[in-house]
Amino acid sequence: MTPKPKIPDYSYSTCHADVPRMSHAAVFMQSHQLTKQLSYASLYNSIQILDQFPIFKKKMEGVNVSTHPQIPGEPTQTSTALLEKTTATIQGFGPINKIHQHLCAFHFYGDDMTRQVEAHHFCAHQNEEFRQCLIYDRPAEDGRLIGLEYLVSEELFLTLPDDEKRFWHSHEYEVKSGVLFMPGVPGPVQRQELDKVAKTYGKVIHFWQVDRGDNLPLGIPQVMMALTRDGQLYDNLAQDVEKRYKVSFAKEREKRASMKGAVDGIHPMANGGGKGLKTVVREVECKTTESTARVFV
Amino acid sequence: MEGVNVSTHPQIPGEPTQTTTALLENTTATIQGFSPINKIHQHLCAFHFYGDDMTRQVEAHHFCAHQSEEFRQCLIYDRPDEEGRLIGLEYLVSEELFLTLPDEEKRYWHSHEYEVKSGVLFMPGVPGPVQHHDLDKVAKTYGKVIHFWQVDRGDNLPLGIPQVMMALTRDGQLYDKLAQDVEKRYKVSFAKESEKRASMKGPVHGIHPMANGGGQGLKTVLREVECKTTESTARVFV
Repeated sequence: MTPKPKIPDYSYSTCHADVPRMSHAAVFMQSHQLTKQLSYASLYNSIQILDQFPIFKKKMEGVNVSTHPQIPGEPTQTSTALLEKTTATIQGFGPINKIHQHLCAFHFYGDDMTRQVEAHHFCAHQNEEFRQCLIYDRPAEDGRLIGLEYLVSEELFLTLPDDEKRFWHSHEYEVKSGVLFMPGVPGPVQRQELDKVAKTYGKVIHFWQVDRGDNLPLGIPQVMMALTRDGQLYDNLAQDVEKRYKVSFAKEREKRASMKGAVDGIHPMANGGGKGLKTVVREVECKTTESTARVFV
Repeated sequence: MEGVNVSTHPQIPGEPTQTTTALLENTTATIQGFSPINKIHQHLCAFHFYGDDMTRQVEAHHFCAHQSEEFRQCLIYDRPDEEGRLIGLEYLVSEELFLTLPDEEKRYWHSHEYEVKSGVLFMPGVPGPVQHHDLDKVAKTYGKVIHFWQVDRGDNLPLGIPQVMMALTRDGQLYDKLAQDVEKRYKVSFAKESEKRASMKGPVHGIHPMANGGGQGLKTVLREVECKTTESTARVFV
């Protein structure tokens, strides 16, 4: 007798409809039955017992929402487009013109590894040890600005206070596994650059939770983390990217085998320091510019 | 009270960019596509302050792109040149889109009516009449600003967690020194601009009471939690 998983009601999105989740009652019932059986079976046999329950058989999948984003609102008017051409010609765009690299990778939420997001980075070097990257959900004109990342060299990372190190993640695994790559760039050119990236640390913040179907940037910004070992990334997300960009992570991994990560090893305080991190908002007294005298006037 | 201007000579620590890196960047710049970045067509200058502290005011250079007539995405740098540090970003929505947001969400958004009509928000280098055409629309929009690099307290790397920011909503908030510094550098006069923009109107329905923090200070804080993992629950018992 296998209980049917119940699909909960998500009022804000239908994106998760294809990932059945069990209600709390069903989980409890299954684990209760499980415990009864386990008490009569050795741990070795427990795998066979678990296979009876369909939920454990279903592979976890990531939800890909990068296709056809729908930002609400009227399409851009001609007058607006003309104005933009004018300002584009007259004004200077120094900081933007420095953006010279496109990198593709995955991030997950600091408190929830099951929510994974494809992230297209557009990066600029401020100097040899520091980069600023803008993150869009797709590398096209209708790409939504969903986050950003700062990359620092290992030397700079080690100067950060321990409390701050928690927000930063290592890049060694992402680079060596082949998952982080530069679309369109020939292998040898990429690898020269990625050899450096493997030793860096990154701080990622996302402010638009496109993976839960938000079509406007709602909520407060969240600190994100990145992959640190095999088995974390959902297969379907990986295969989708491999297909679209005609790359093979496995083949890249072989070619990158000689790359090394941070010289001093991955710092224990990095990658959340082993904890989940979540930002929340607090309502407080807003400190104002009026001098205290005015309070009484 | 005076504002602190830290836009001059930012010092990002680290070795200067090597030639090999610069060459590689030229290569990737030629081969790869940069469509989302190429849409960025406007430079706007304005001021923001921290959601929980109006005494900390920051000059903000916005580089904006229209995703549609009603939605813009802007990158915020502390100065509009090559050394500019990416300190924040802003989303702008039309009044219609703003009204579709849940009330809880409206708190994070601020109105632009005062900034535009006071002359403080402007587009460097663009002739008056061209600016006014666009600012007339901006005056009716709402913006959500997040900063992640607290340059005003002298941080030379982006430390801490992102903060929701707010914008000016009436006279007397902006520090004179900061205003005069911008007026001098860009050869503008906020007072004169204000006169020319007198006929502009803010949101049709008036400034929503939940906007601009809903009257409260807002501060993001960090919470340590259990991180939900991808391993199936089966592994807990195995």
